[in-house]
Amino acid sequence: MMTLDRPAFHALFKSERDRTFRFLLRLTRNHADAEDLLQESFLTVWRKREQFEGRGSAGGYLRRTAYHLYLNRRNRDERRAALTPLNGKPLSEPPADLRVERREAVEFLVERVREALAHLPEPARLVFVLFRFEGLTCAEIAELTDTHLKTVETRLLRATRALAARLETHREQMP
Amino acid sequence: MEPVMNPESDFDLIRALVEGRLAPADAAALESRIAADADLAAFRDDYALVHGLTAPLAGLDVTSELRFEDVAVDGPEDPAAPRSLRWSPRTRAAAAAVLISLSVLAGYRFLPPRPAEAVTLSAIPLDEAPVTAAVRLPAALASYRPSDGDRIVWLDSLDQGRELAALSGRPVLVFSEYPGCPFCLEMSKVAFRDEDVLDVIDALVPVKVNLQKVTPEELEFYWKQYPYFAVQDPSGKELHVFPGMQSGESLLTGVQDGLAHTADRPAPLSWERTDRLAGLLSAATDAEAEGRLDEAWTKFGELTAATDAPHFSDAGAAGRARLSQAARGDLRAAQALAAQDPVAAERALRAAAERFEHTPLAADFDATLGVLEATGRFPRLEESHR
Repeated sequence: MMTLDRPAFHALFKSERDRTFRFLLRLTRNHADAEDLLQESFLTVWRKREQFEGRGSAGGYLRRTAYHLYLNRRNRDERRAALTPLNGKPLSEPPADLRVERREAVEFLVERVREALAHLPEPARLVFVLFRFEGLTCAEIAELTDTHLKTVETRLLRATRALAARLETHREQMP
Repeated sequence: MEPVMNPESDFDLIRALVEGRLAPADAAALESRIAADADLAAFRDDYALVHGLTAPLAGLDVTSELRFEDVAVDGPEDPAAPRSLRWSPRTRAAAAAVLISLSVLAGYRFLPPRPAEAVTLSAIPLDEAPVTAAVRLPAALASYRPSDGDRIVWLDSLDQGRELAALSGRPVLVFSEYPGCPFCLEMSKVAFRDEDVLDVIDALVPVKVNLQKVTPEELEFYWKQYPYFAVQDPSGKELHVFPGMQSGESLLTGVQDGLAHTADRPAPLSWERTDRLAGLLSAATDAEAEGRLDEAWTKFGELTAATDAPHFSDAGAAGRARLSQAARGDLRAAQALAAQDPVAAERALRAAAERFEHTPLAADFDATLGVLEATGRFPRLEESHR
């Protein structure tokens, strides 16, 4: 059975730090929050190393820990946000006859993709991000998020359909 | 609980198919299942599109700044690193004395200080330059039309009217009124609804000045020619003045005479184009004001590329210049801080890099920070030719 002693924890830190940071960055969309949660994740894993018991990989254990910390943070922020007035505004549609340099066209496309992702309901966005950017399988996402596999597949299907509908007009800009 | 064995579902296989990672035999088997399942077929098509369009976001090339010392609560040292020598204070003092003596003997203290490493800035300007204040166009103006098809739609702010006139390449039609004055009521029923006037009003930005809300000096000016009608350029220069009560016919003549003074100027932007660019400018300045600087940078760039609309293009260029100068201010502030407190300077650079994240300006902060972290000294700053 693999135990998480100090050398193993150091090896885990070296191999998983940046990967977990990117994972958190995709979830939080904020550098400072991702850094903060990353530190909290490693501290939690170290503090609760007795609970690890060598089940699965240490990297998976770290990612589950990071994910649950993210959920706790998000739920807390949502409760806080519920007490403050909304200041969001609808996003504008891109100009149809835009003519820009290639670099700016890519920047423009990235912005539209970000907007489209932001429009997804949170559970669907989460499944899509884990599937598309983290390379997790549907079964891994189900395990990580403690959700039924069928639910994950349905959310993935809906997220992809919604994104395709929203981004269809940019098909010709596909890199 | 047993760990999940990661069996692949058809959704996983479709991803592998889109990414070209699926063996031909598996691909053929998958295609036959897709042919029998409309949901899978739709997912394959949708995912292929979305996969391609999200490709620029897939390569997230960022690393964390977290150090092992920040999470190793039982001690800072890296267990893989060799343990440092543990010298007593007396031994350390003796060693220091020997080192100082040796350096004096070698004349080390007479050597000139080593020059700081240089960083060539690729985006942030080194010199301070004047910046133009942001043009804050109210969102309502992004769908403005001078007529609703039935009557003239007057703007009630001369400043906003001039701003919109400059951006869209039109002159301003200025009319002054006392609310409720009989002349004005009559004109609002007849002249301001005249079909021939409505046909030409699109070429101007009509503004109504309420004489109950002007300064005494302005009141004196407008009162001498009441009711004042004039076609002005966006700077306020009078091109044609035709005061007095207007019939539809005389208003049309006055407007046409005024427009004749603008015949040598470029054709105005269509209102549809003006709407789109005004919406973009409004979004860009909002993003700038709210600190979403990467979004502001991108939108100002789109405006700069609008070469058919010189004023919008200038507003875009001015927006990027403002962001560049703000970055310059952050960089210089960190530089000033470094002389007293290098750690605080590092923090300031990190904060600035985050503030300007996803803009070309961030790379200069990262490069500067890299040298400061590696050498402990703030680098010399040089500017590349741009």
